[in-house]
Order: sequence, then C-alpha cells, then structure tokens
Amino acid sequence: MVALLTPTILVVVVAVGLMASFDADVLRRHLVDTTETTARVVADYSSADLAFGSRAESQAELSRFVQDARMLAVALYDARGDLFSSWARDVAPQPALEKRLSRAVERPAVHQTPAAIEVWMPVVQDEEHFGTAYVRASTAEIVVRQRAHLATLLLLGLLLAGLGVLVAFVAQRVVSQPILRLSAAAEHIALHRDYAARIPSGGTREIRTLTASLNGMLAAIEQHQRERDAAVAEAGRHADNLELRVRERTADLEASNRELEAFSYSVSHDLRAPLRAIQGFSRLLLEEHGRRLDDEGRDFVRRMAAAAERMDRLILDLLEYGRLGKKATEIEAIDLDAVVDDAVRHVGDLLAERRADVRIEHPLGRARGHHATLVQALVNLLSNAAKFVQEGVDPVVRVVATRPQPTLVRLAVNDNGIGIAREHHDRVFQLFERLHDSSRYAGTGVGLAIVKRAVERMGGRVGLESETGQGATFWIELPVA
Amino acid sequence: MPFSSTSLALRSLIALAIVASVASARAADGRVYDEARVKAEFVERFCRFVDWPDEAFVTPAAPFVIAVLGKDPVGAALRDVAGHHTVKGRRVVLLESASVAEAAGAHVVWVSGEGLIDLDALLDRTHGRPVLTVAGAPGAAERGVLINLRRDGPYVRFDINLSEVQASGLRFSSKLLRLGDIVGPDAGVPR
Repeated sequence: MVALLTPTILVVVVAVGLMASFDADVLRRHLVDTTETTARVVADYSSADLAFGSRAESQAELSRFVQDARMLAVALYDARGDLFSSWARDVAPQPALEKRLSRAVERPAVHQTPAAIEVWMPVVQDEEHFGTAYVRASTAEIVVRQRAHLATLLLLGLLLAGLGVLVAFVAQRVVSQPILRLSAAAEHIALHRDYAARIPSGGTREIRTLTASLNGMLAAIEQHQRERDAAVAEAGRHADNLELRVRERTADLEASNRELEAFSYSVSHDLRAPLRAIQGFSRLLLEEHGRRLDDEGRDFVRRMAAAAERMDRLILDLLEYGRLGKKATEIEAIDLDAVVDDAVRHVGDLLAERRADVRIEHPLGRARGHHATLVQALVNLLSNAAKFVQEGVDPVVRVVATRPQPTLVRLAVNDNGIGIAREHHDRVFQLFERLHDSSRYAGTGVGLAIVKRAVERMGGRVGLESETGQGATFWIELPVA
Repeated sequence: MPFSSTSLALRSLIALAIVASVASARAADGRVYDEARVKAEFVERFCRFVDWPDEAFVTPAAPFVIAVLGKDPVGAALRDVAGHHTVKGRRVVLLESASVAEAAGAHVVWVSGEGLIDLDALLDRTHGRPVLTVAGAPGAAERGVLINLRRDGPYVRFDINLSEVQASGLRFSSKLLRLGDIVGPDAGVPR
C-alpha cells in the first residue's frame, strides 16, 4: 500500500513544487514587465519635466505613477545622473535612493534581487537623452505566494498521507481481515481434520472466489473421506468373512487330519497282525525245521525275522507318534528326577548291552509337563545317545538340568557319540529323516520326531548342539513348575 | 496608464498652481548658465516636444531650419545649442539675422528683442502655418507668438497661445502643454 502511495505522493509533490516554481517564475517575470512598463511610462511622461527643469511638478506627479502597491520607489535622474525627483512608499525599510546614478544608462536595465526588482529606463525625447527613470518593485507578494504554495504543498502531502492511511485501513478491513479469517479457518481444518467445516464467505470478489474454491475442496475431501470410510468398512466385512472361512477351513482340515490319523492308526494296528504271523512262522520255521535247511536257508529265515521285527518296531513307533497327536496330555507339575529315573529304567537293557555310562546330575528339579510323555521323549534321547557312537567306544551319557531363564528348565542329554553336522540340525527332528545307514545304526527315523512332538504337546521346545565327531547335546525346555 | 486620460483640467490646475518651479538661469542640471543660454536650450528642446506635419518638409531629407529674427544673445547661444544636434532625425540649419520672409519659411523662429519690430509682419506670414514661433517678450504670446519665455524669479517659464498652436497645424506634446501657461482666447480652457 505504501509502495503504491509513495510514487503518487511524490508525483503530486513534485508537480505542485514545479507548479509553485513555475508560478513564482511567471509572477516574477510579470512583475518585471510591470516594473519596466511603469519605468517606461515615468520616463516617457517625465521627459518634458527633465527637459525644462520642472522639478516641483515632477515631484508632485511621481506618486501618481505608482498606484500599484508593489512599486516601492520611483526616481528621476537628470542627464548628468543627479537625482532630479523621487518618491518612496512609506513601508517596510527599504534602501535609500541613490543621490547620483552609479551607472550610465544607455538602454533599459533590470536588476533583480530576492527582495526587489529594479529598473532603469533612459528618458529620451526625439533622440535626446534627458535623464533616467528608476523604479523599484517589491517581490514580497511573490514570497508570500511561494509560502502559500509551500503551505498548500504541505497540506496536500498531509492529505495524501491521510488518504494513504485511510486506504490502507480500508484495504486491511476489506482484504487482510477476510484473509486472516480464511487462514484461521484453514488452520482449524488442518489441525482438527474437520472437513465438514465451511469457511464463511466475505470480503472482496477475489476472496469470495477463493473461499468458494476452498469450500468446494473441503466438500470434495469430505466426500472422499466418506467413500474411504465406506470402503474400509466393506474391507472389514470382507476380513471378517475371510476369518470365518479360515476358521471353517481349519476345522475341516483338523477333521480330515483326525480322520487321517485314525486311519493311519488303524492301518498300523492292522498291519501288526500279519507281521506277527510272519515273525511267528519264521521263528517256528527256524525252530521246527531248521535242521532241514542248509546254512544259507537258515540265514534267509533269520533275516526275514529281523526284517519283520524291524517293521514291527517301525509300526510301534508310528503308533506312538500317532497317539501323541491324538492323546490329550494333561499338564501338571512333574518331578524331573523321577522322570529321568523311569526313562533310564525303560532303556536299562539297551544301556547295559552297550555298556553305557549314564551320569545323572541330581537334583534336576521340577517342571510343568506330562510325566509319561516326557519319559517317552527321554527314552528316545537316551537310546539315541547309547546307539550313535563310534564302534568300539563305550557311550558316556550325562543328564543335566539348567535354568536358561528364571521361568524355564532345560533338561540336556549329552553324549560322546558321532555327532551331527551343523547343516543337518534342522532335519533331524523330522519324520523318517535318517542320517545314517540303518545297517550301521539301528533306528526307524521316527524317534526324534516323537521327541519333538511330545515336547511341543507339553508346550516346550527341543533343540540340539552338536558338531561332527564331537558328540551331541539334545535339550528339552519346559516351564518351571 | 494613469496619465493617458486624466482630465486636462486637473493637469492645468496643477501647472498653474506651481509658481516657482520652472527652470531659470539655473538649468535643469543645476549648473548656472546665463539666461540667454538657458533660453536657447529651451528653444531647442521645444522642438523635441512638437511635431511638424510632413508637408513642412520639402523633401524627406530636407534639413530642420531654425531662424533667428533679428539679433540677440539667445540667437547667438542657439549656435552652440543647436549646432551639434539633429531634430526629428534631420540636420539642423540655423539662419541667423533672418529676414521676415526667411524666418517665415523656417520650422522654428526665435524672435529676438531686435526682431520684435517685425513681429506682426512675421505673425501675418506664419499664422495658420506650421512654424513654431518663440519669443521672450512680455505679452508676445497674447499677440500671437506660439510660445513666449519669461523670467519667474530664478526660473524660466513659458506661456503657450493654444489657439494659435491649434491653428498652426503643429502638434504640441501634452507634456509640453502641461508645463506651459496657456494664454490667449483659450486661457483657462482645459487642455
């Protein structure tokens, strides 16, 4: 606003200043003209007075030439330059008239000072020079006019400045305030995400347009938001639906899983009957008719019996595995010392046969679990420890309990066996994963799967630390009782 | 222009009211000259305030002729005064001791004391013609001389026979009329 007004004020001030200067110039020129004319009239009219020495008449007449109030003094000088007659206005002090002209006046001469204009006019009649007329005029009027101009200039400047302030004030009311209102409304909307709010219209046309645009934008945002909310709700419904379907599907799967387990259990169970027949008859064959067979024949029959036994073992393991999946296990506080003792007793024959040295670091403490299930798992671990050793090495098995966390008990079975390469650690707990040729190490490939399943049924974890040839440590973690 | 049309009456009143103001043996510049010299200057200066009609000059280059009827100091002084001046842009020719006939053909005639004898003869010839007759004798203006000089204390003043002036066809400057005293039939008439 100021930037807009300043040039305007400047232009007006310069214009008025120029006008004042021009006016003063014109006034001064005009005054010079008037003074010259007066001097010419005096000179013309006074020629006879000078020519014939009519001093008294001249003296009486001079004042009549100066009815113009600006004329301060009139004088006549004779041909020799001596003062002939004079008249001076009785006003503010003015310089005394020269008694004798200090200059020769051949032609009209004008001398301007800030305060006065002086004119010397030769008095000539028919080419004869009789003297000089002198007129002095005051420029006070011009000074007064200039002061008046200056006052006008100041007044105009003040007026314009006032106008500027007024315009700025009005502009603020018309432009700034609606913009501030707009800004406040926008801030409120941005802060509270209140897209339902609308900005009140007002102000200039541009601001009303802007307000309308913003309100339109808000309406669009609100609409989008509504649509998004609807979409989210729809998606939620879909998700619920999906969850329901997943549950249904899971139930289906569980049902078919149960069916499958039941099927495999009955199959395994039913498979044992013919297997017993094979075992029984092969034993009878060996016992009753062994002598009729040659050595090769007896070896075949023995192999057949061993295979049947291995198959029976496998079926039993599978049944056990299946049972673990089916059986509900009741979790309670159990005495780990008793569990380990029971397990050792179960595999006592094997341990004795392998001349294993079993060291149990009592007391092992208590944990939450299922006694029989944990015994089953430990039996598998202990028998593995006794079986997987280098030929000619007596197994040394240690059973210890540690507390990796205050709420956990870790039961570890450590052996001095052949160990398991690190890359196989993930596989050993899976069903039918055998790392070794069954001719060197007896086993069905189900044992560790049973251990994992049994421990997980009790809410625990199993794990393994081992390197090839360094022995192995299998551990079971259960919650502290 | 305050004086262009101010009433003649007022101006004549002022002129008449001033008694002791006109030049005398004491000239305008303040220096003291003998009376003859001052009067000679007056004669010369009257020429500056009087206009002659064109027919007063035979040719455009014709000289301006001043004649002295008879002889006296003023006539002699005119030799100095007029000799080195031009009047109306014309060379000045001074005819001293002119006859009546010679004087009647001049533009200005100074009637000397000696010439007063022939005054009437001269005036007979110059009446109604553009000849400026100037004398310095009491009553000369009343007799028909256009301008008559007279002493008034230390000053020289002059009377003007206005009716003769008007008859002559000469044009007197108002400035001159203002300073002179009007005599003759028009005396007291506003100029």
